[in-house]
Amino acid sequence: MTFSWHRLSSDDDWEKLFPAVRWGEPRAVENTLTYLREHALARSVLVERHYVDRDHRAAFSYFYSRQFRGTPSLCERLHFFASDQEDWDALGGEHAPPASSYLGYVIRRPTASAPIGRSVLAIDAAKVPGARVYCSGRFEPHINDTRFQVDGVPFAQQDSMVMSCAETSIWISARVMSKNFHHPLILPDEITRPEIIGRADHGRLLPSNGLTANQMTHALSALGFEPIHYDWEAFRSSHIDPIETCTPYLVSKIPTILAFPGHAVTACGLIRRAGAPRPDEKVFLHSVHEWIEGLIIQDDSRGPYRIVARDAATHAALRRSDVSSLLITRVPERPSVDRCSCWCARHVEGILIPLPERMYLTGADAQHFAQTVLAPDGLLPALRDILELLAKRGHGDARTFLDAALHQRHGGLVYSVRCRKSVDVRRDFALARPRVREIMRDVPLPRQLWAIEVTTREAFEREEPEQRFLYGELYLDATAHKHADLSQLVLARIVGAMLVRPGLCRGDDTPVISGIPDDACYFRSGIPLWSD
Amino acid sequence: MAATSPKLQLTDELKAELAKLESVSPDKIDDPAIADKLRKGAEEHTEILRRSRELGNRRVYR
Repeated sequence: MTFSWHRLSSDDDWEKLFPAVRWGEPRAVENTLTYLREHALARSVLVERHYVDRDHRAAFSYFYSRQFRGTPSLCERLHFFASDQEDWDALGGEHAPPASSYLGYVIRRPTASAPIGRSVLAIDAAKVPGARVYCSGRFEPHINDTRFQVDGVPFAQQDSMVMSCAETSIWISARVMSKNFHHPLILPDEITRPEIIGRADHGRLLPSNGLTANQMTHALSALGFEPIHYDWEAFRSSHIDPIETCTPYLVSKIPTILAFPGHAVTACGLIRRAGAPRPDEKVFLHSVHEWIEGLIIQDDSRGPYRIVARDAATHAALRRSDVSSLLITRVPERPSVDRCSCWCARHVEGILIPLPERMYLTGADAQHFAQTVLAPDGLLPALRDILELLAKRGHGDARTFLDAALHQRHGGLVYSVRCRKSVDVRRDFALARPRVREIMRDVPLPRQLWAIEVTTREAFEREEPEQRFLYGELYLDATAHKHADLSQLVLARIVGAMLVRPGLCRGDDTPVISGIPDDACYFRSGIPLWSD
Repeated sequence: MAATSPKLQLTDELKAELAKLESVSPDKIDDPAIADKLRKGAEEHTEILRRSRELGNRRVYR
């Protein structure tokens, strides 16, 4: 029989899924099963034998087939369901499990030290309260002729032969980029090649002995990305928050590779729970990342969907919540210097971002732009003059925006930064005032834009998401030169005033401004961490 | 996109005042002081990336 059903009700049922891991890292197996049991609430599993997995086949051809010890080239695929379903024979028909009960799959590799191969497990806020996994994609595995759907992020355990944590984090990132940005599919053997790693100054590449940040950066470049790498020591005096750095990418479906001491993982989402501590009320310009409590990561040695808290205090608060089993604890190496018993964002010592092609302006550039032009002395005078005229004539929204931006009323301003496709931006303007649509119609836009969306803190913190109105939006050309000054701003709309550069694609960066008295703030669905 | 607040009527007087503000010289729209702050930020960011490259061979991740 190729297929067999197993009920998952007792400890014994779960333990049978993976025989004891004889060496390697058993935590990844334990945590994967714990996630399925406690968060996804799996109740049955369909085991699909003799499964040909492309990733394992690639690793098999590249490494395992060359060993004296025999390793099978076939895997098994475990399909998890939230329902008891033991009477379906995998032949379609009316007894097929309901699509809504499908929780994803795990490839069981025939490698004793690292049995968890490519896996995609469902995740959403119902399974992990507060989870916002923007990097997740929709996967459609089929069991014979029956197709199921799962929204999740690919995961695999490192086998420490073909892939260590460095290669696995690259592989996971590449899979996410393949799903979200149509990047070509990357198989494990394509990463561990001299021409991809580039520099073999740390010794042989196979069995993998890990990679340096520069080797990982080179590998990402050779695989077709345009990576950027931050080493925390490079920041010297300035205080940089890893959550701040990662957020614009994660909400844009771009994963980030986090380097902890000696270990690399892939960040794919964020945690923001209701009732979490709020940012300082004496500061009047905030970024949405300040409301985030932690990062959701794929850790190839600890399992899928682990949580790295913002700091030790947040870790302690999360330990008392229903996501405690996803937190990462640690034993401090030097307790006299560092007594922290958890991995938190302050332990991140580097970040690699596998940017897609032609994204020359970075998330950091967009954040700096937002912090500059939304500061009280940064609002462009030409726009401010129009808003002041409208406010004087009774335009309530223009008055509210100016009061928040210039006079610290309404709690000041809150902004978010994300990368958007121009077609999606245009779609959002479809119901705007006729004059706004006319202006938009005649303005060519680059394919990718950094969007800065702005509201007042008072509106941002409203109970009902539909009441969290948008007061302004600024769009930066993602292909702009890093020293492009203000010409990187291709479109700005703040309730009642607009700025566009209709000639930019012809080399003419002359701005055109317009006053729009009938413009108003409005609700936009789907803004990450805000109205999604 | 759903608008929320009452709109302002575009009277002839308001139209004339707006036209005056809209015809401001382009070099006054792109405020040089703000452009200078942006340039400095971009230079700092470039320097951080350069230093990161220098430091990128120190540690191995496995």
